[in-house]
Amino acid sequence: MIKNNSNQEKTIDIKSIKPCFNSANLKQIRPKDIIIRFIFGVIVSALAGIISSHFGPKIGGSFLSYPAILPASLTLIQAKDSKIESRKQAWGAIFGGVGLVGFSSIGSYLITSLNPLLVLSTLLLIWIIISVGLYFIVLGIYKLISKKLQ
Amino acid sequence: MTLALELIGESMLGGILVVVFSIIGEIIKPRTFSGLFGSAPSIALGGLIISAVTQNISFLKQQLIGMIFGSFGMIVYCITAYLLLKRIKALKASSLALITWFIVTYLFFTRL
Repeated sequence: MIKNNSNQEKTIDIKSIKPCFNSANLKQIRPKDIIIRFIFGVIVSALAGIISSHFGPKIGGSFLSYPAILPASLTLIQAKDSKIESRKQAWGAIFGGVGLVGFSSIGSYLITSLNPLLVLSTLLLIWIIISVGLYFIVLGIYKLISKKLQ
Repeated sequence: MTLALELIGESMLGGILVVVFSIIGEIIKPRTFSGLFGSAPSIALGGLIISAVTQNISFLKQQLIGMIFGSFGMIVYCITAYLLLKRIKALKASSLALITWFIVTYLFFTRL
């Protein structure tokens, strides 16, 4: 991942890890991309619901963490930008995945104590804190190590 | 009829949330940070919100426990997709990587 060869592209943004909004991209989102993602979401949600009703909530619950967004995103990003950009997306998604572990494990404890809808709102916040926190910690360490190696 | 309505509600909500998180991922830079939203709990929130309204707490708890196993599968999926993307195109990589999600989730179910 660290550039050893000047011809190789870096896969990790070590120059800038600070997130920002790029509203110009909003105009570039095609209706077709939105429809594809919506259909993916509908299919996976329906699958999770059907499996829950037939095989029980535990097995159905596992499909609540099924990669619904990522396959379409990676494919669309490669078509629009490059494979390197897709790899960056996949790399970032790892942090989101860790956030999902936090979301579900903390949720399984809290759900019996508090109002479910309140718990779900809290869990979304927990997912954001874990994913974003991990992102900054890991990339910050990566940036430090890269600077020291230069 | 009730089950059908639940499924429709869950599917529509899941689809909408997938689109919302995808759009957030599209407008945020850098790409590595926007990748977080590729693993956002969009399907989970849709399913759990409907379950919160239609099912009991025990059902929700079981769903969340199952979700833990799937989440580990998601982490392995992302790592696999990242590695495969070095060699093959995104459509093939993201499709093949799904196998790892099933394997890891199944292993967690059977071993734990």
